Amino acid sequence: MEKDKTVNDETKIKTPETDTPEKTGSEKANISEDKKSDDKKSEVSEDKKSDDKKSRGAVVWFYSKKVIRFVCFFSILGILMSIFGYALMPKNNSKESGMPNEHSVGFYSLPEGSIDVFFIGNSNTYAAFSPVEIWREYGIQTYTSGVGFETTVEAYTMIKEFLKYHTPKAIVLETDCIFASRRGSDSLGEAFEKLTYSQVPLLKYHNRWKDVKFGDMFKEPEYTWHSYSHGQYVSAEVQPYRNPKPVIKTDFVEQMGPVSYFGLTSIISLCKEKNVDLMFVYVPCAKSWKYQRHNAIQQIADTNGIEFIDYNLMTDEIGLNWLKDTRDKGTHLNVYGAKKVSKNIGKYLVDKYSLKDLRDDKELSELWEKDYEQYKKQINRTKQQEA
Amino acid sequence: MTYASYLYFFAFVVIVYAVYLMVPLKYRWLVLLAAGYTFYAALNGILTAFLLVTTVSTYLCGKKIGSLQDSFNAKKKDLSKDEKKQFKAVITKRKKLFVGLAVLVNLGILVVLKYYNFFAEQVTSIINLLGIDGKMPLLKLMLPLGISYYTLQAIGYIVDLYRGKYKPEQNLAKLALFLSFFPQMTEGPIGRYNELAPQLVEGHHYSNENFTGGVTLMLWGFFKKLVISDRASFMANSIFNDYTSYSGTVIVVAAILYTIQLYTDFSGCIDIMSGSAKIFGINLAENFRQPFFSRSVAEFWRRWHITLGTWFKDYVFYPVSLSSPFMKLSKGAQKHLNKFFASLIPSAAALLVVWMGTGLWHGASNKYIVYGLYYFILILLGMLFEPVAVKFFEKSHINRKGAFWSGFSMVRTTVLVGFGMMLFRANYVTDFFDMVFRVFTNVNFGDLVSENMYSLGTDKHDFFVIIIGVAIMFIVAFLKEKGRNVLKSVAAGSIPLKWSVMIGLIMAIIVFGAYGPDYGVVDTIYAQF
Repeated sequence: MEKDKTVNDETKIKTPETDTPEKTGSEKANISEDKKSDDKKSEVSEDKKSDDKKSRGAVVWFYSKKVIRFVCFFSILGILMSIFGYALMPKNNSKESGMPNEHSVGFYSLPEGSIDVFFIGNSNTYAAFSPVEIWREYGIQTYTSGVGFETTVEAYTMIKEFLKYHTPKAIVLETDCIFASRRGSDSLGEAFEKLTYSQVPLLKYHNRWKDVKFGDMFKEPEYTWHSYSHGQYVSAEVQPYRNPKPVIKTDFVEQMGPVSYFGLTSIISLCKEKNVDLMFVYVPCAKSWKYQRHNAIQQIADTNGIEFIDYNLMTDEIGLNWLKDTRDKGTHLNVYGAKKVSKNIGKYLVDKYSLKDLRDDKELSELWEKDYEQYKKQINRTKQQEA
Repeated sequence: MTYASYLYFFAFVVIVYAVYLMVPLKYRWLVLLAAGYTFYAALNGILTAFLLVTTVSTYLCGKKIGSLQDSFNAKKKDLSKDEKKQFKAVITKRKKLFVGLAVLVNLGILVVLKYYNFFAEQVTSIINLLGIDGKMPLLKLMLPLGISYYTLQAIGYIVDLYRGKYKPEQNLAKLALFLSFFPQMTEGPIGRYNELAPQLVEGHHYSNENFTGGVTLMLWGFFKKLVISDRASFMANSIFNDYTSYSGTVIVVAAILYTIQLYTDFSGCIDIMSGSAKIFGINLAENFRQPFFSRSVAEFWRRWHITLGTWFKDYVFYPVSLSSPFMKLSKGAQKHLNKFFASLIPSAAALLVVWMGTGLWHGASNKYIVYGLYYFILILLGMLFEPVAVKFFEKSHINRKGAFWSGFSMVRTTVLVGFGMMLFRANYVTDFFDMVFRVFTNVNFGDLVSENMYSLGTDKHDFFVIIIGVAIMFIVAFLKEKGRNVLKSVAAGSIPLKWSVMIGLIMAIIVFGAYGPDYGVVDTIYAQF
C-alpha cells in the first residue's frame, strides 16, 4: 500500500518546467497535430503564434538554466576537489610524507637538467638498472624510475613528469610493462584508474587524511628527499633459477593490448615532441619474456626507428648466470645481475650519445661516493638478512 | 568491483538515460530492453542464453495459461454448475501442467547450475559411508549473473497468471524487459510483474525530482558500500579466515563488523540500483525497511531482503500450506491436538520448507541449510512461547509496546541476527559452533585496546569512519522510522540543500572511500547468489 502511494505521488508531482521541454519532442508534435485538426487546419491565430514563441523561449530558458546549473555544480565540486587534493598531496617526495613509490620519483630532488639517461618501466626496471654502478663505471648520471606492475600509460605520465625537471639525452623504456599488468591482461579499468590517479591528486592521495598534519595541508611542496640508489631496488638476495629453458626462435608476434599500445604510442609521440631519443630494452626476465613478445617490440621499434636491445637474447654476451644473478628464481635480477646489465647498457649509451665522463668533477664525485657507501651498506644488509 | 566499475556503471546509466530521453515516449522501453541485454551480455557473455531460455519459456507458458483461462471464461456462461465445475477442473489441470513446465525448466536450470555439484558431493559421501567405492562426477558449471533473482521473478509471474491475478504479457519483448531490467540484474530486488512491468513499459518524462532523487540515492548507496562496507570487510575477513588465533571478544567485534559490512554492502548496492532506476522514473520494490529496528526475528525478515521474504511467502508458504499433504496434516492436528498446537503444527511444517528454501537460495552448502534452520528454530520458538509471553506481560504489567521493552527487543533481535551473520560468514558450520563456544568461554576485553587488533586491515582511523558512518545511517534510519524520509526531502528541497548533500556525499565517498592502491577490491556479496 505504502509503495502504491509513493508511485502515485511520483506521477502526480510534475513541475511545470518538467513538462515544457518534453512537449518539444514527439508529444509536442502530437499536440500541435491535434490543434491543427481542431482548427480544421485552416486558421493559425496570432495568439497561437505568440504562444509558440513563448513556449520556444521557455524551452531555451529551461535548457540554459540546466546548463548553467550543471556548470555551477561541477565547478563547485571541482574547486573542492582541487582544494582537498592539494591539502592531502604529499609535500615532500619521501615515504614519510606519504609519497607512494618514493624511489621512482627521487629525481625531483636532483639538480634540474642533471640526468643524462632515464630508465623507466615496471619492477624489472628498478631491479636491473643500477645508476650507481653506471656512474662508477662511466661517470654518467642516470636515474631509474620503476613501479611494480607499471603500465605504459603510467610510464607515459611519469616520463611527462620527469621531462618537467630534466632534459635527458635518452629515455630507456623497459618493455616488460607492455605485456605484464597486475590484472593479468590489458585492462581498460586499470589504465583508466591509473590515468585518473595521475590527473586528479585527490583520487591518488585521498587516503592520506589518516596521516596529514593540519599545518602541512597548504604548504608549498618541497621535494628534498634523495634516493641513494637513484631509483634502483638494491637486493643481494640470491634465489637461483635452475634449468633455464632454451630460447626457441619463432616468427609469431604477440598481440599488444589496445590500452598498452595506446600508452606506448603516446610515449613515442611524447619523446618525438620533446626531441628526446627513445630506446627499448628488455632486461633478462626468465618468467615473462617470450620470443613472440620480442618480435612484437621489434616490429614497433622498426616501424618507428627506435633502437631495441633484448638482453634475453644476450645473456651469454653479458655473462648472466641465472644461478647467481636473480633474487627470485628468474623473475627479477639482483644487484649482481643488475651490475652486468648496467655495465653493458652504460657502454652502449656512452658510445652512442658521446656522454661526458663527469668523475673528474670533485663535488659531483663526492655526492655519488656517498650514495655508493649507502648502496654497499644495503647490499651487505640484504646479504646478512639472507644468511 | 573496482572504483572504475562503479564509474562505468554511473556512465552507463547516464548514457542510457540520455538515449532514453532522445527516443519518443512510446518507444522508450525499447531503450531499457537494449540496455538490459547490453549490460547483461557484457558481464555474462554466452551465459545470456540462459536468460533467453527463461524469457521464452516463461512467455510461452504464460501465454498458454492465459489462453486456457480465456477459454474457460468464454465458455463458463453457457455451462451448468456441474459442467462448469468439471470444466474448471480440466482447465486447472492443464494450467497446472504449464505452470509445472515453466517451473521445471526455470527452476531446473537454476537447480542444476547452482546445486548439482553440492548434490553430487553429498551422494558421493553417502555412497562412501556405505562402504561403496564410487564417485558422482563434479561438473565445471558457470552460474549466470542474477539467475537467482530473475528466475524467481519468472516463477512469480507464472504462478500469478495461474491464480488469475493478471493477464499474460502478449509481447515477448516486454516480458523480456521485465526479466532483464539492468538495475535489477545483479542483486535484485525481486520484482513483481504487476508492479514493475507497467512502469517499465510506460515512457517517463524527465523529472527534476526523479533525477535528483535517483542520483542522491545512488550516492547514498556508494557511501554505504565504499565508505563503510568495504572498510569493515578487511578486519572481518582477517578474523573470520583465521578465527582460531583470536579471543571470543575479537570474534564478537568481527561479527559486528560483518553485520555492518553485509547490511551496508547489500542495502548500499540496492540503493545504487534503485537510484539508477529512479532516474528513469521507475520505482523498484523496497528491499530493506530499517531492519535493525525490528523487535523480533520474524519482523527482521519482514524488513530485511523484503522481496525474497515476500516471494517465499506468496510462492512457497501459501502453496505448501494449501497442498493436500499439509491440509491432511492440518486436519489430523485439529482432531488430535488442542487449538494452539493444531494451528501451530501445519504452519511450522510449512515454515520449515520456507526456511530450508531460503537457506538454500543463498547457496549450495550445508552452512546455508543450517542458516535457514537457525531462523526457523528462532521463529518457531517465538511462536511456541507466545502464549507464555502474553501471560508474562499480563502479570508483570510491563508494557510490551513501551519504549523500554521495544528497546530491549531490538537489542535482543540484533544479537540473534549477529549470531546468524556469524553462521552466514563462517567458512564451515563447525567453525560457527567453535566460534560461538569461544565467544562464551574465551573473553578478553584487553584485546579491544591491543594494537594487534588494529593491524588487521581496519585501523583506528577506519574504525572512526565506520562509527561516524553508522551513526549517520542510524539517524537517517531513525528519522525514516518516524516517517521522515531524509533522502526524499533532500531531492525535493531547495538547490542549496540538494547541492550541499550531493557534493557532501561525493566528497565523503572520494576522501573516505576504501578504494585505490591502499585497499583491495571488495566484490559485492549478494551478487554471488
